[in-house]
Amino acid sequence: MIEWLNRHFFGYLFIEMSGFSPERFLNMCTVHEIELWKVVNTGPTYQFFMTVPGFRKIKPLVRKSKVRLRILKKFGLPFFLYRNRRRKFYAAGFFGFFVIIYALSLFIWDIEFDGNRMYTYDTLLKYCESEQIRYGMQKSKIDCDALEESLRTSFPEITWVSARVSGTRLLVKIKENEVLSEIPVKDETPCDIVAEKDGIITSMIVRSGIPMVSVGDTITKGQVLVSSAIPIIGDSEEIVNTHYVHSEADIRAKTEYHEERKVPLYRKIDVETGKVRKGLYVKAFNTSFLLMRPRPDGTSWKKTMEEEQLHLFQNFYLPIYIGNITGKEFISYERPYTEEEKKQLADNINKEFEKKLLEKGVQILENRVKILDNESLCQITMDLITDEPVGRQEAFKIQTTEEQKETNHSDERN
Amino acid sequence: MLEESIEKAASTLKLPKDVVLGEVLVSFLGRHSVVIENYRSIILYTDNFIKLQAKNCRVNITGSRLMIEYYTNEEMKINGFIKSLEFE
Repeated sequence: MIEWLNRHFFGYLFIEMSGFSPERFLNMCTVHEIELWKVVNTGPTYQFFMTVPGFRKIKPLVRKSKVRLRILKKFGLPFFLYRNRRRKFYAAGFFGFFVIIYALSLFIWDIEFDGNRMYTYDTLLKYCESEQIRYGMQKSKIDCDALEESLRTSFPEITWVSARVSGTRLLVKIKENEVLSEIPVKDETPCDIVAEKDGIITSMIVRSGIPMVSVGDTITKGQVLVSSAIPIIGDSEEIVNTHYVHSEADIRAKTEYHEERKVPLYRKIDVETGKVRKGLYVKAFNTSFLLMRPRPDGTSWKKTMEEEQLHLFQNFYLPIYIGNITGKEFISYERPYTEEEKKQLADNINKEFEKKLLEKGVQILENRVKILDNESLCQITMDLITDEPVGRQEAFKIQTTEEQKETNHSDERN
Repeated sequence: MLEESIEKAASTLKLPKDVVLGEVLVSFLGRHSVVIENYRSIILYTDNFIKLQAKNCRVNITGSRLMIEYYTNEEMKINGFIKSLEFE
């Protein structure tokens, strides 16, 4: 390989030799360490290859051995350059390529975060931007240690950061704390538990506070279920003092949901015609270029695009994006729902609703779906009977009203 | 006399003889290629006959379309259709 490069860099010649004693010439070449190869005898003449530096040295040998040399062909870089000496722009382009590649390698063209679970890519990127680290900035201006330090201090959940610049990418590796960094402080402020919805209580577990209702009671929204005021009754059976606690309870109640959805009777259907238009899209810096046939008038297309950043090697990203656009033609028309489709639709809506409830921790006891057709609309009604936690802690603020009540009582007594 | 003693020494010391004695070393690769090491000079080179001078003998190679692939001070590679190799 090195030999090959050497030959091409300095150039080599294909030479024809004729004369009195070619063998002597060959031997003298070895003595003077002049490289010859592929020596062929073709009748009266000999042909061989020789390097240009070797050729410069053989003049005395030629005279001694009385041979005649004729250059048949020239190879290698010096001859190539000489042949193309007029093509200045070609050379300029060739060197320009390297200059541009070098210039591009001085900037950051991709920022990658790895290991982040709690913080999204956008949050971290925004933070980096506030720290003057952004896409397209100069590589030399990045201080990885400072970035690590500031990331650790600004995001307490991040326990370990490693930032490094590789090629034209900034790679940030993050380890987040897996356990909670602080224990939630127990809320001790006095509060009541208030009903969130209307319903009938099915179960009650009260841990602190005084229950105001019992299992089987019908409650309405906003009703106090567990009171935080614990009266302290003295020996003479009168209220000496009232002690307010942070009430806690699990209260479940049978509740009802009524949901109504209106769906137009006609549905819009998009049918693909099977015609596909493909296009290319190139984006560099802030300019983009679209390569796609224009769409024929009166047709509608659905387009999808896949964008990819160009990179030379694994970590040499370039600020050039290439997108593949696929357009599919479709025709849309409207037609009424069939009975089956209606059922399907109602089912889907119902399932979605159920899922939402289940996520909230609601248990579903009964579920009825009805489909009613109007002239213009299709009405889907859902009646659900459910079992769910209804207690909601509400900051204690009834003090004043109670005081009022007390004053009222006192008035009555008076 | 000297040569014999050198040879003995080489064989007892288990040294490679081609290096110590400077004897010609011929290695064939099939019948199309032969590498000759430790030769001194080329005496004759034509399309179908090559005569080489070694330390204490001459090597004749006959064949057709003989071509010297490369040659240096110590080593020469000959390609072509080789018919025979003789020592003189």
